[in-house]
This record gives sequence, structure tokens and C-alpha cells, in this order.
Amino acid sequence: MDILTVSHLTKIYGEGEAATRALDDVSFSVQEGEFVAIVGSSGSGKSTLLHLIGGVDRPTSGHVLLNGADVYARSDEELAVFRRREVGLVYQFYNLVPVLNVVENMTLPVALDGRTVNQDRLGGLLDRLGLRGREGHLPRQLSGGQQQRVAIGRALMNAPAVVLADEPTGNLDTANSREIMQLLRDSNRDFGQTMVVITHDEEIALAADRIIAVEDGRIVRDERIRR
Amino acid sequence: MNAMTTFTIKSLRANKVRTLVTIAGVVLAAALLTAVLTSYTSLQAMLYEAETRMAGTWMAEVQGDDFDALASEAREAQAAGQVNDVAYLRDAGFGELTEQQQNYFGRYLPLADFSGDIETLCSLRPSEGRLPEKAGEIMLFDTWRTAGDGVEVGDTITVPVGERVAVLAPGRTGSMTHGEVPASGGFVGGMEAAEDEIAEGTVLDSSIGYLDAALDGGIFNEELRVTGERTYTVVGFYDNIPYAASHGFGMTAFTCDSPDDELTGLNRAYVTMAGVGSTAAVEQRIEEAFPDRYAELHMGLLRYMGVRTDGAIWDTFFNIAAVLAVVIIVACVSLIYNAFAISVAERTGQFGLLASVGASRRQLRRAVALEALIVAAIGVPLGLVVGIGGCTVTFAALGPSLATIFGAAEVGFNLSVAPWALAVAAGLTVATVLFSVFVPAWRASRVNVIDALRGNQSARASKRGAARAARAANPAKLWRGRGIAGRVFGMGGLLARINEKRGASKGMAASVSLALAIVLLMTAGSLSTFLGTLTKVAGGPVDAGDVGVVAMFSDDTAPGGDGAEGADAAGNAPGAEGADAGAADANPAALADDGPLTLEAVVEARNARFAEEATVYGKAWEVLKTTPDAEPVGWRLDGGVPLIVPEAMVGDAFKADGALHGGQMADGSFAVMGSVVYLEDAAFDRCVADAGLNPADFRDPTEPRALGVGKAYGNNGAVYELLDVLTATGTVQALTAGLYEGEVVSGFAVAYEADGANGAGFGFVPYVFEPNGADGGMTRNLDPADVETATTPVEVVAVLNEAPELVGMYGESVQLIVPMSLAATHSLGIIDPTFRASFDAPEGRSGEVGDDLVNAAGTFFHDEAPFEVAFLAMNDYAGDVASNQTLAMVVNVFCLLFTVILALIAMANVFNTVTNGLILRRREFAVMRSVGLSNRQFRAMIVDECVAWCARGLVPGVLLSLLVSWLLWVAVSGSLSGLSFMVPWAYVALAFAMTAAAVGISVAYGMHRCKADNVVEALRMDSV
Repeated sequence: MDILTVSHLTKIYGEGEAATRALDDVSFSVQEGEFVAIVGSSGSGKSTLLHLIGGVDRPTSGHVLLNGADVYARSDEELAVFRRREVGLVYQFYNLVPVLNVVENMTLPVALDGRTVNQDRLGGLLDRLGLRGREGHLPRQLSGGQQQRVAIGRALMNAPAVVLADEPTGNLDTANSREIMQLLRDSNRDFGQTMVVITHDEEIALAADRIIAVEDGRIVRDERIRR
Repeated sequence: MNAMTTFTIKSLRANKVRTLVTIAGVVLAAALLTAVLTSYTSLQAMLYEAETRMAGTWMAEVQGDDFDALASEAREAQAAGQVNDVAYLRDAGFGELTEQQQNYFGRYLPLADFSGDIETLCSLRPSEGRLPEKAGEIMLFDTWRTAGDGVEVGDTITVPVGERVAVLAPGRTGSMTHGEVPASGGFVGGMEAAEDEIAEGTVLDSSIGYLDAALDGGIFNEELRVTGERTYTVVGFYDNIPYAASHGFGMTAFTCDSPDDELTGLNRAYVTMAGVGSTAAVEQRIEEAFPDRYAELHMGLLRYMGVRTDGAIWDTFFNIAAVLAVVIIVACVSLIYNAFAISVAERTGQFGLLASVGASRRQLRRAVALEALIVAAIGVPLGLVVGIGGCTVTFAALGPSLATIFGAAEVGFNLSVAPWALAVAAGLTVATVLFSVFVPAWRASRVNVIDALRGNQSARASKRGAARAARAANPAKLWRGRGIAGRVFGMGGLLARINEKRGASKGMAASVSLALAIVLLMTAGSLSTFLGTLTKVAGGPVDAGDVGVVAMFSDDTAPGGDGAEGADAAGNAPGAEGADAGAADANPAALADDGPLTLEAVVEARNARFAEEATVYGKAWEVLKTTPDAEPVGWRLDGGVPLIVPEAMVGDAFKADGALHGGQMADGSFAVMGSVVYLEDAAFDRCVADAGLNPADFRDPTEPRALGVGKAYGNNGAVYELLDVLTATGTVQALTAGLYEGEVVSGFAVAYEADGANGAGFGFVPYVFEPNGADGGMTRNLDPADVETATTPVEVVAVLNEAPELVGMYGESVQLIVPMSLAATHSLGIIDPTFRASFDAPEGRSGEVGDDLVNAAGTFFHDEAPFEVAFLAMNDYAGDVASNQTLAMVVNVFCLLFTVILALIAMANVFNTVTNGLILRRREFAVMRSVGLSNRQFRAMIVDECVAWCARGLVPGVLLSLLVSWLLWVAVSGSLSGLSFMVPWAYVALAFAMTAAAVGISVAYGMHRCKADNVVEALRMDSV
């Protein structure tokens, strides 16, 4: 079943002569539980694609359907709720809130939604992410790898329809990169969590079920990897 | 140009808006400082200029009997450079005046022979004609032109001239030294002369005032021993009255090149000098150049030259300027500091990058310092120009009024730019900029390269924050403890609270700028409140009409004090002086002839005298009404009366601590020094009719009835304002007379007694005049228990909200109004009432009309009144109002300008810090929004944070501003007493409202900027 459908998505930045076509009529769909890697050189439009899927930007034209609903048919307020519940975002630079500790950062989307934190799920994630004993730490007290694990925890906390990761290992050393990749892979396998990961690390890409290559705002390659 | 310089200039160019804002801050700082200092120097220059015009440029006057010795010392001092210019005035005898001339010109015509530039040094300028140039020419005081027969330029006058000789007063013997001679108008001779003896037949020089034993209490009179006659050609007149021309015995006439035998008496040398920095230096130089001579320093001039800096008024100006300068500097430091701090914070990444490519900390610090210097190099000169320009415009608008207020209309208030003032303004501003940039520069140099490059620079949590965060990880506590903020603002409020508790900066900059805004606005508020109160108090109660004539007769049997009391009664509202009431007894001697004195007889005698005086004043009014151009308004008689007022009638004014003119007695009723106004019947009837009553009810001579005035001016412990004195109708008792062991009591004072006959409380203390009393005072208090007192009940039929205009609007205590017809039967204890007649005059001519009225009144009283006039004067209300309005306008404009400028600084500062505080955190906001923070939650979070900033800023802000207000009050009240410290609450409210508005606008703008930022861009926002 298709959990995510992107159809004819176009994003143009700027106007007139300065206009840049970041995405040009991109269409594809992702099945539930799929692990998709998006690769491409810098400036190819892959981050724009990710943000459009994540509901943090608005497309110039085209649609994004998540769980069968049009993401951009929502108002700003609805979009905020959508981001809390349906999407988990992981960034290259972690983007944690500096004054919140590990568990607060992880549970922020739940809290924003006004719901009670599921302590079992939180405990499970802390164990899985290797953050036990660091619950009260602030981001600046953690290493880069640990911060990224908190970010992943935040993305997974709500069991969203899709986790979107933008170069999640781009800022990490090889060992940490492998560990993070393994975590993403494991959550995909164990929870059936749908993942869309941007990377330009071939090795990481090869761990995915499917690789979509983007160049100049267009999909130039879309292949499933048979294991 | 090295790389760092290039980088600095490029970054200034790149951040155009920030650079401009920073430069604007520097310009503002420099301009304000320049304006404050230039106002100070301009004021000083004006006062100096006015003083030189009024009294001349002489800095010291040296006296000596031997002219040749004095002149040779002066020549040597000039040669030695100790003094610059010298001018001389030498006594040249005293002209005898006829009795008629004495009325116009004083006792004598003092003659002085001058040499040197007396126009400049002594301000002796001819207003008409010229200065004498050769022997036999004379310059007279201006009144000679018009008074008596009138003299014109070219006329000759012949006067008998002689010398003043001391003559022992009849029945006196002995001698006095100069130092003991009472100063009876003129100034007394100096220290050298102080020991010289004056005996019968001593020739007096011009340093000794007119001797009249009867007036001055000394033992000498004087007479003029005429030695010859002189004839002078009048070549000019002068009309100002400089120090050198005024003597107690007449205005000096100036001549020159007189023969030596005419020059007897004292010689005076007026000198100027250069390069003296203090009064002591002037004194020392005089002592060196003129050893052992008596010298007077021109203190007024030295003060304005900055040589003498004492004197209360000058301290006040200096203190105010100092407080303002400190406030301005603090404001500007904050503005500039914030601008630089934010600039550095925004570019942390840049500094990290520079550090990563090898820039040393020193180089980074220098880059910021260089940025500051470039900003200062542009801003400071601009600021000086703007400041001087602003002063020019302001002075052009306000100068004439200011000059009038300071009595220097002739000179005008002109811009005077002192190089030192510009240097100080520039120096202070540069220091401000360097100080402002010190912390940001240090911070820039401490940037962690890796963090900066990673964009991790916003490690904003504090150490305590970390500990708090650790505690909050407990599952039971997760997202708990929302408190009020959480309930009101939901999740946004909770996030705000967490940020506040754990963040390192805690919006400090915003809170500080808010506190400062409060301080600045309240400083402006305090200043205008204090100055405003001063002008209001200075204005005081205003009487009806444009001009008023005030007169009082004296009881010649009562020694002393009358003149002074008359002056008080005329200057203030009635009843201001407790001692006024029943100032003296009416002819007790005459009464005593008819056997033992009774209270009834005293009261009767007083009533009779009062009735007679009222009749005389009534006639005077009829006469005054015929004065040309004087439009009659009305007249009244008033006087102070001790009153017993029932508690039910008394307003709050007497219940407060430090109440005016009275308070509660032990028996519960109130002892009040009030006043009774006898208003001419027609005007009184109009008041009664206005109050809806029947005038006929007030005509019964057996039952005096009065209207009461509800309010009076008083100090309520904070400000001088209208207070409730009478709140209800009822009957009061007027104390009309007292007898003490057969002696008539002179009057009653109202005083508080801790151990009165009936316990603690206010009470009436009877007293009798006793000019040479054992305790040196003028009165002797009597024990109330031994005094028999007569009272007259007066029924207050109505309490008027507002006194009729003719009654002088408001007094300072209980005021009762009765019809003039009552004067025929009741004095109510008043002996010599004050007569007040009011007239309107054509615009601008109130002064002249007033003079005419006083002259007419003087003639009438002299010719017709069977009483001696104790006091006769005119009040030019129209003129006073005009000058009060001018003063009020100047004060208002000044305060308005000051408030507006400070408000601008404060608001700019708040805006700067709040918006930048938000904009610097936009990445953080973007993160939150990317994980689902809704707009509503975002707004709630920001609003909650703002409330917290405000709360933190307001409390210290209010405390600090109270301190500044207090300092200002100290500065102002240094020279003007009677001003209570007060908090300008209106301005506190205004300050709150304005800062709230500024925060609101800033937040709206900041949030708009944050939201306008695409979340994607904000998240990506590269740190470099």
C-alpha cells in the first residue's frame, strides 16, 4: 500500500530571471515500511523534496499525499499538527532545542500535541538508542552521535507515518555514521517504520530498499535493491 | 590595509542597516551630550554677559585714601601682568539737594571723578549724550531728565558741594568704628577702614552709608558741611544702576579731570585680570599687587566666569546637568552596547571562520574595536553638528523667553559653543562606544571555532539550567510543573518557562533595556514634575483684575513689626501670618482713662476703628475709580482672625500631619488661623445670589453671617495644591479680643501644645508685644488660662466650592466672606485690615496704570486719611501672569523635548533588543516548528517570555528610577525649598504603557521576521 504519494511536485525559488527551479515535476510513491534513500549531488533538490514531504515548506505546484490525505490542503495550524503526528524529521545538524534535556527533546512533539507521553515507548527508545543514563542531559552535554540519536528518538517517538532524514550522518565520523544508519535500518525493520533518507554516502544508500537519484530537480534514477 | 581591516569594513558595509542603527545611536549620544553641555555653556555665557552689562567687567575693587599710592601700585601690577585694565572712581564731594530734589534723587548728589574705561569695567554707559571728557562736565542719573524741573543735555547745573560730617544724635555720646556703623542702605567700608574711628565731626567718605540714629539704631546722625558751589555742564545721562553708581544716599553723578582740591575721600580702583581660576587666586593676586588694601570681589561675575562655582542656583544647574548627563550616557551605552553585542552575536560564525583560518584573538578583538572606531569617527562629528544644530533651533525659539526669565533680556540667550564642551562631548561619546564594544569584542575573541562552524554557538543553557534539566528527566516530572503560565499559555507557556529557567541569557538585554526605558521616562517625568511644580508654586494664587492696590494703616501705638507684616499680607493671601491677627490693641491708653479695662470696651474700640478705616478705604476706592485707564473690578478688606471651628465643618486639610495654620484642640473642635474678607456689598450680593441665597439674610448686624470657601492652597505632604478646608456649614467663633491682668492681648497664635491645659492638641496662645523683651523677641506669650477672651459667633451659611474671583480665588486657610456693610459694626478682631482694590488695565500697560493708582492712593491717604500708612503697594498681576506663562512655556518645551528624546532612545533600545533577541533564536524556533509547534503555541510562548522580561525589567527599573528621581529632587530642592519629593505616577503609567507598546511592536515585528523566514531556510541557516 502506498503510504506516500508525490505527484508532479514543482518548487521554484525566487522570481523572474532569478528564479531557480529546485524541483521540477517530480512524481513517485513510497510503500508502507519501505526504506528509501534519495541521493544526488548538492543543490540537486533533494532537501527541498524532503521538506515538501515533511510539510515545512509549500510547493509551487503539485501534491503530496500522506496516508491518503493531501498535505498542502491543510491550514498552517493543521500543518503544525500534521508535522507533530505524521512526520519525524532528522537533520544533519541535529537541531535539538538547547534548553531541553534528552527526554524533553524526544517527547517535544507529543507534548506539543497535548498528549501524555507513553513511558514504555520512551523507555524502549532510550534503550534502543543507547541514551539510558543521559535522560537529563542537555544537548551541549552530548557528543554529535548522541545528539543525532536524540533527534532520531524525537522522530520515532510518535510512530509517524514517515521518518524523513536529511543527511543524518553528514556531520558524523564513520563509526557513528554506521551506528546511526543501523538504528534507522533497525527501526525500519522492527517497527515497520517507513523511512526516507537523504544521503550522498553510497554505502548508506546501499542499505536501503530503494534508491532514488535526483539531479537538477528531476528524478534521474529510481531503483529497488534486491537483497 | 591589512586583512582584518578589510574584513571589518566589508562587514560594516554588508550589514548596512545595523551599521546605520549603530551610527545613529552614536550620533544621538554625541548630540545629546553636546546639547546638554552647550546649554550649560550658553547659559553661563548669557549670565556672564548680562552681569558685565549690568555691573561691568571688573573683577575686584580696591580702595584707598591715597590716590597716588593706589595708582602707582596699579601701574606696577599692570606692568607685572598681575592685572589687565584699571579704571578709577574718586570721591569728589557731595552735592546738596533741595528738599524737593531729595524726594527724587536721594539725600545727596554724590560726585565721582572717573578715569579709565568705566564703560566696560563699571558698565557706566550713557543712555543719552556722552561721558564727560573734560573738567566741568557731568553725567547724571536718568531721573534728572524727567523729575522736578527736568534737565537736558547741554544744560548747566549749579550745586552747593560739601563734605558729610558725623554728628552725635541728641542725647548720645561716644564714638563708633567704621565696622560698627549700621548699614543703612549703602555699603559699609571695608576691613582696613573698619577700625577707623568715627567721632563727632568725622568726615565721612562714600563707603559709609547714610547715618540716621533714629533709623539705624546707632548714635550718629550726619550733616552736609557745604564748602563751595560748583557748576557743571550736563553732557549725558545713564539709566542702568551698576554697583559703582549706587549708594544709599543717592545716585552718583560722574565727572572727570577735577582739580585736586575737589578730590577728597575714598579712591576706588576697578581691575580686571587674566588667567585666574578661582576666587582664592583672585584674592591672592590682589593681595600681591595691593598689599593691605581693602578689596571687594565681583562675585556675580566671577561665578559666571566659572571662577567661582559655589552658590546654590549654580549648583542646581550643575547638578541637573550632571544627572541628565549620567542618564544620557547610561542610555547611550545601552543603545550602542546592544547594537554591537547583537552585531557580534549574529556574526559569531564569521568570527569562528576567521579564527579557523588563523585570526588570533587579538586580531578578532581589534576587528570589533576598529568597527567601533569607524562608527565613532562617523557618528561623533555628526553628533556634534546635530547637537549644536538642535541647540541653535531651540535657542532661537526659546532664547528670548529664557533671557527674560534670567533677567538678561538685553543680552539675549545666544548659542555659545565652548571648545571644551565639544571635546568633553566627543570624548564621552568615544569612551561610551569603546566601553560598549569591550564586552562584545571580548566575546568575539572567545568564540569556539568548532562550535561556531557547526552552528552550535547557541549553547544557550546555563549551568543551573543543566542541573534543572537533569532533574526534569524523571518520568514523573516530564512536562510537569506548568504553573500559571502553563495553564494560561499552554505548551507555549511551558516552553517559555523552561527557556527562562534554563537559558543563559534569560532575555537579559531585553530586561535591561526595559528597565532603562522606565528609568529614562521617569527621569523625564520627575524633571517635568519638579519643574512644573516649581512654576505652579511660583505662580501661586492669582487675584482678580490686572493690577491691584494693596494698603494697610498702622496703629502708631503698636511698636515695630507693622511694615514687615504689611509686606507679608500684601505678598500672600490673607491669614498667611499667624501674628497678623489682632496685630495691636486699639488705643488702650485712651480706654484706660475710663476706669478698669473691660473686654467689651476693647471690642467696641476695635469695631469703631475698623468702621472708620473701612469708611476711609471706601472713599479711597471712589477716588481710585477715577484714575484714567483703570477699569474698576472691585475692592475688599481682609485680615487674619483666630477661629474656633467645629469638627463637623473641617476638611481634610487640617486633619493631615503638618496641617496648615491650625489643627484639632483637646476638646475636639479646631483652632484655625483663618481670614475674613469684607467684600463690597454689590459683589458680595452677587456671590450670595449665585449660591442661591438671599442677600438680605446677611445684613443683620446682630448676627454676623458669612460665606465660607471650601478649598485653600496648602502642602498635602507632597505637592502644593488645593485642599478641602471647610466641608459643611455651621457656626464658628472668632476670637475678637483678650485681656490679661488688665492688659490688652496683642493677638493669638495657633500652636500645638503637647501639655496644654486640656491635654495635647492645638490651641490659641495669647501674646503681647514686647519690643525689648528679655528673650530678645518681639512678643511675650501668655498663659491662656490667665487670659479672658471675647468671641463673636459667625454663622457660615454656605460653603462655596470656589472663592469668588474678587476674593483672590483661594487663600491658604479657612476663608470667610462677609459683606462690607458688616464693617460698620463688627471688626471680628481685625485691627488694621488690608485694603485690596483690583482694576483692569489696557493690555501691556498694567505696570503704568498700577503706578498711577498707587500714586493716587498715596496722595489720598496722605491728604485725607487720619491714619498712618504702614504699607502701600501695587501688584502687577497681568505682568506676573505673563512672565509666569513664559516660564511655564519654557519649562514645558524643555521637558517635552527631553521626554521625547529620552523616549526615542528608550524605545529604540527596547525594539533593538527584543527583535534581535527573537531573530537570533529563529533557528531554534524553526526547529520547534518543524516538529510541530503551531503558530498559536509559538505566539503563546513569545508572549509569555515577554511578560517575563517585562516583569524582570520593571521592578529594577522602577527602583532605579525612584533613585534618579530622588537625585533630581535633591538637585532641584538645593536652591528652592518647599518642594516635596514625589513620584510622578502619571509618568510611571506612561512609562509602563510606552514600554508595553514598544515590546508589543518589537515582538510583533520580531515574530513576523521569524515566521516570514522559511522554516527550511532557518533550519539550514548556515552559520557562516
